Amino acid sequence: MTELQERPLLEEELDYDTTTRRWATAHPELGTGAISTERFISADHFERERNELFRKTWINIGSRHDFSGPNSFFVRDIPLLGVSLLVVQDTEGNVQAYHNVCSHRGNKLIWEKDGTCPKLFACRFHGWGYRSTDGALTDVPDEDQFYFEKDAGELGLVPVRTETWNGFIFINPDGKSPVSLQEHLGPLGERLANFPFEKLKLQYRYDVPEKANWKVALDAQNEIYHVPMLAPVHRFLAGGAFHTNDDGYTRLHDFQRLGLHSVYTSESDDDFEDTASGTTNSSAHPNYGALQLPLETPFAFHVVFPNMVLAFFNNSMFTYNIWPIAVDQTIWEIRLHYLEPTNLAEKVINEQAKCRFRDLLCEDQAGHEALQAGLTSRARDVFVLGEQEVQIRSFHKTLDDYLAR
Amino acid sequence: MTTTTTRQLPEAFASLSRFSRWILPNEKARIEARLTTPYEESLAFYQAILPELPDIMAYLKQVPVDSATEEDLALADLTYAFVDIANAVELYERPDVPDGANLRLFVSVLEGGRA
Repeated sequence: MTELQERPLLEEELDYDTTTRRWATAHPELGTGAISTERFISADHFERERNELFRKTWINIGSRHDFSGPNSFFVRDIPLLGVSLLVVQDTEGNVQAYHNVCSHRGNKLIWEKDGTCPKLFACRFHGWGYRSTDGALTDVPDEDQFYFEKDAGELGLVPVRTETWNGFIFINPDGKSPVSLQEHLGPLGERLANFPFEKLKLQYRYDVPEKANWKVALDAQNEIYHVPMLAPVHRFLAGGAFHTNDDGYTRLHDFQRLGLHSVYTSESDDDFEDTASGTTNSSAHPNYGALQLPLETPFAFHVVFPNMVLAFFNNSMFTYNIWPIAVDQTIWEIRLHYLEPTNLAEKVINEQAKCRFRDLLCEDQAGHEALQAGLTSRARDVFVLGEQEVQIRSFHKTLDDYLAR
Repeated sequence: MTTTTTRQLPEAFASLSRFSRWILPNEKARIEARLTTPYEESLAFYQAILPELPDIMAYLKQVPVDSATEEDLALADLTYAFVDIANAVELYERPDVPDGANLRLFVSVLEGGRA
């Protein structure tokens, strides 16, 4: 009996629709206390995040989909860190990021957004050229007028520590992280190690500016408690696409802390009533809608600490890169991935899924800005979280622990 | 010389050419049309296409993405506009997202439709 009393309640013993202390019981380390509003509005806190977190950890800057193919590049500006990166993929698929800065006078080297690698990345100011395969400086017009030995290799492009996982590209800005990307991803990386990401194709990307702290945007997405209440598309999806209990409230199927990261999942209900056009489209091509991804639940939402979301919803994957710009400014970068359509009816089905999701996010975005306004007013010093928001509590605990170390 | 030509639909759907203004090239144009067309007109478009949708989808299902003709693509573009308008009609009963952000912020940067 003692053994039984000591261990937390097993999932099987719980009816998760009615148990009200499931997550507080499973995660006593998270407590049940209120969360300070200061962290969303304090310029000092923002500077700590910039310098103690974002400069030091691993951050996702995109994926293989951002390249037009092998031997290509894209430019990634990161206002938070005041850097522009030139991210290069060679013919074998190896990826390396460099500071997008000419060694001569500091000019921004490449101004295009993306493209196929030229033989040399050439600076438009004085024509200095860098080999695309390794960033080495190989071309200096009127070279004799300079005082350095070009072949000594000291004036090549400055590399930024880069690693990839399943096609996702991460950098460690200060280059000093004691852990590899694999160690950083830890149990989250293991959980998705063999996921068939190649089945999904990037089809839409939205870069949405918000007058809100980055964590307001993340927190607002990191729960489904709001889904039955917020707005029309949310309420539509609450009608079965997300599981709700007899009272109409969502209930997490599962929540796990995965090292610095986390995941929560939701079941769907079989009483989902689609609209007239949705029903027609899906019945025109039922095979395309059948679940083709190895998902245990139709919805799984991973927070890849600190500012990335990797989520699955039926046959789609969406990622968020929530980029802090200032304490009350954020770029919400949204990428929608669907199965590769082989015929035009499949494209229509993807388009309808996209339109719904896009309008849902449009409903959310206004909410993020309203939240920020309320927090900034300092009407309250703290706010409260419930059981169905355990993911948010977990994220802030992880953030506090990271900043305190 | 620039000419504005109406994109032709496949012959079987020629009767839908009265809606050729909804054959739009990208998401930016579709959102603009959704937000600026009087709602009654969008509703009429929705109500006219919905009964045709099973035939449209059956046709489009036979068209491989990499061998679609100009007429096939025009029908697909019309149908994309329809599913955008379907949100307005089926979920909002008005053109825009009530209490939401400006939909014009949500134009995919991958479609080349952003100014």
